[in-house]
Amino acid sequence: MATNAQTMNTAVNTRAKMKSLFIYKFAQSTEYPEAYKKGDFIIAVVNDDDLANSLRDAAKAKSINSQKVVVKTYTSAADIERCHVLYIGGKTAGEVEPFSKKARSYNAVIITEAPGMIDRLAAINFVVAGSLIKFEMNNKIFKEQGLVISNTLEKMATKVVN
Amino acid sequence: MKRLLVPILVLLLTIPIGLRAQLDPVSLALRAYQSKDYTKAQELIDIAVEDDKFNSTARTWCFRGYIYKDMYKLDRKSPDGQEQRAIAIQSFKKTMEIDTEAEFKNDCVQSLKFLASTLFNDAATSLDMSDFDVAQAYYDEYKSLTQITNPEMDFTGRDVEFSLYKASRLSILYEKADPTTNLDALGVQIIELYEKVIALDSNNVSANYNLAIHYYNQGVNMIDNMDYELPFEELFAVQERVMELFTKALPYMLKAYELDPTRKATLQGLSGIYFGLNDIEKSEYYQKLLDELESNQ
Repeated sequence: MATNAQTMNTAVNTRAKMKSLFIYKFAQSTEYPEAYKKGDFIIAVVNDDDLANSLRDAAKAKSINSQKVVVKTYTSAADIERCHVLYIGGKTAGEVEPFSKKARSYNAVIITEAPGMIDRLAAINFVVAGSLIKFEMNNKIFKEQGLVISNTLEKMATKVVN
Repeated sequence: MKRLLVPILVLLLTIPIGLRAQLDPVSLALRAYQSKDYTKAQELIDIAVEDDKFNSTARTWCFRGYIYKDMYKLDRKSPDGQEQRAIAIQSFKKTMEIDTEAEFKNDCVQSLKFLASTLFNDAATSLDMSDFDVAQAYYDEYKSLTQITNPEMDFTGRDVEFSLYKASRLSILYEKADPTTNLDALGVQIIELYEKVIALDSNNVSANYNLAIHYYNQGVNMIDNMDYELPFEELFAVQERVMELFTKALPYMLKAYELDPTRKATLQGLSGIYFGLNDIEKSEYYQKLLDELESNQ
């Protein structure tokens, strides 16, 4: 009897799927200015193609706040256009800052995933606690971006900067 | 059967007493068997085992075993063939039971060994056809028969082989099942089988690897099926359950790696599990080992 080796499921990028689920929750928990409640819901992604693909998969079936979701990817901060969410993949402030600064000109939720970013560059920063993906948040940046967030988000955050 | 009984009796009555012994139903069955007329041999030997004059002798039962065994060999797959094998087994067992002089013991043991091997093969074939209960029944019968022919037999290797193959076949069903089906019972059965193999042979690479992949895939499937409408609390709860599965997978994959550090699938598995556990440094370490291994080939 020749035993079959089980086939590993490599079709799903688990981290990308988890992060895209969180990003949808962040977006659903955010109250945008009136001008942002019309037209497409734009999620901009920098430096993370797997996440962009996962978000695109979700966008095929799921809207956010009744708006059609459109996922855009960028490699240059100068190219960033008006968006609702900007995810910036990058490990250093030098990588993240140009994109974060550009996004400050829009009412966008700025999301990062690197230590120290929550203090001045991101409204939300993904962290790994134990083995779990969690997040910290910066209320000051949310306010500066003209965004109102639900209390639930704050309760779930591992750290809140005010 | 009656069709033959009358002419046989007439024949016996018309034959001198000295010749009758040579032409008893057992002897006639043997003649028919030697000339490969199995149907006639079967009918004659079945007459003999119904007759108290012949059914107390080991010779009668042993011949019956041979006749039915050879009939089975001609038609292994049909229900008739399966029944013939069962009668052959029963006949050889009966022979050994009444053969106090052990005159036929060696013949019976060899024949039962052959028949046991066919049961083992049928167990494997049944697994291939996903007839799991039938496979288990064949395997149990194989073991029971082998214990007669070889009481000292250590079944560990066979148990490992059978359980591993059964688990891997069940895993294929598990992976191919409709995601809306409740697979909990099947999942438990698969885990129990792999754990059984590991308990018997802790250094079994396939069992360690497959069990790790089973846990890992369960976690991946759980994430893949997570809905975007899940409330925040549920999102965290499901993530915790997924991490539990990845955490369960890890020691088995590490063991598979320890047993065979150059197996590509294991390196890919470790990289994937650590990635799932959000330990990117270790994930990249095993991915690097995999890349090096592939570049050296």
